[in-house]
Amino acid sequence: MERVAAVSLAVLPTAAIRARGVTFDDVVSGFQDEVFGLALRMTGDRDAAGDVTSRVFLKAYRAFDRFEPGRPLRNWLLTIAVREAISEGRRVTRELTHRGPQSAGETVAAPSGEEPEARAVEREERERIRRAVAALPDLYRVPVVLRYFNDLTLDEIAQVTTRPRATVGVQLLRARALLREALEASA
Amino acid sequence: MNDDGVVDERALRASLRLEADERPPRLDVATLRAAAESRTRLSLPLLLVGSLAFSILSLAAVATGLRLIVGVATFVASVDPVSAAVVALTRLAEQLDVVLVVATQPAVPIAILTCLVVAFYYEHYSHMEKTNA
Repeated sequence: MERVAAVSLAVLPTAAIRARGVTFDDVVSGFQDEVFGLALRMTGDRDAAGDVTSRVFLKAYRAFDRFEPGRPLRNWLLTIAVREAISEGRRVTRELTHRGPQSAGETVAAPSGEEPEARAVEREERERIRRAVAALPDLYRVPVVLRYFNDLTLDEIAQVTTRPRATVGVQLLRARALLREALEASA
Repeated sequence: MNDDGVVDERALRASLRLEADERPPRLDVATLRAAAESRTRLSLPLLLVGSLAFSILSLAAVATGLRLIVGVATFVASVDPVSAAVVALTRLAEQLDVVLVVATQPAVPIAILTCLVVAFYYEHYSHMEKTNA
């Protein structure tokens, strides 16, 4: 079967996806990066993100045929991913606390030795922002990642998180203020 | 960062973007499917065993509860209510007897009377002082 682009899958409701003969394999290849990225930004740990991705698609596979036809598939997958990433993130935090602070930096990618200075600075700035996002409480981290990584609208975030739209808006603004405070403190 | 006291949205988007070297290895859908199927296959026997265990435990709990109720009812029925009441009254009387012995000492009513007299005079003089003030 011809591979279906992630973008077209993202906008279609489940019934339409099934009607077009899209298989579970297409769903996995269409959304794998997005689910993995969300998990990575939520947990800050590559291995944990891999585990979360596997679990999300395992759960999705089991429920794929029973899923509500009118609901967008992408939002459903992201809902599962958010829940899994939150619980995995807590497990990772517990583990890091248990192992001690010296292992906390393991997840950050090390810059290559031949990298130009400007790029190295850019990379460092990105890492600082990622660390600050990963350190936000779940309440704020979830809408930030859904908005600025998954590029969801406020309505879609409200649907995924089952929070009112206005609440999501306020939480995003508060999260950005918290991030600024954290970045200024770490500068 | 911008002047509103919050982090700039563009900076956030750029930082959270998945880099090329961060992309995950492709998930093996066949393995995933096999894992999901094996658990589904396992879940039916597990469900049956779980249900059976739950039923047995529930029956055991109900049986224990019934035996307990029957035991308590039998014990209550076997006890003579009149003799039980007499025993209880006797025990109460024994406790009260100590109090009665103390209360019937001649020093007690005299002390009580003295206290009353002193209190009466104290209140009386206090009232007089307030009125005269």
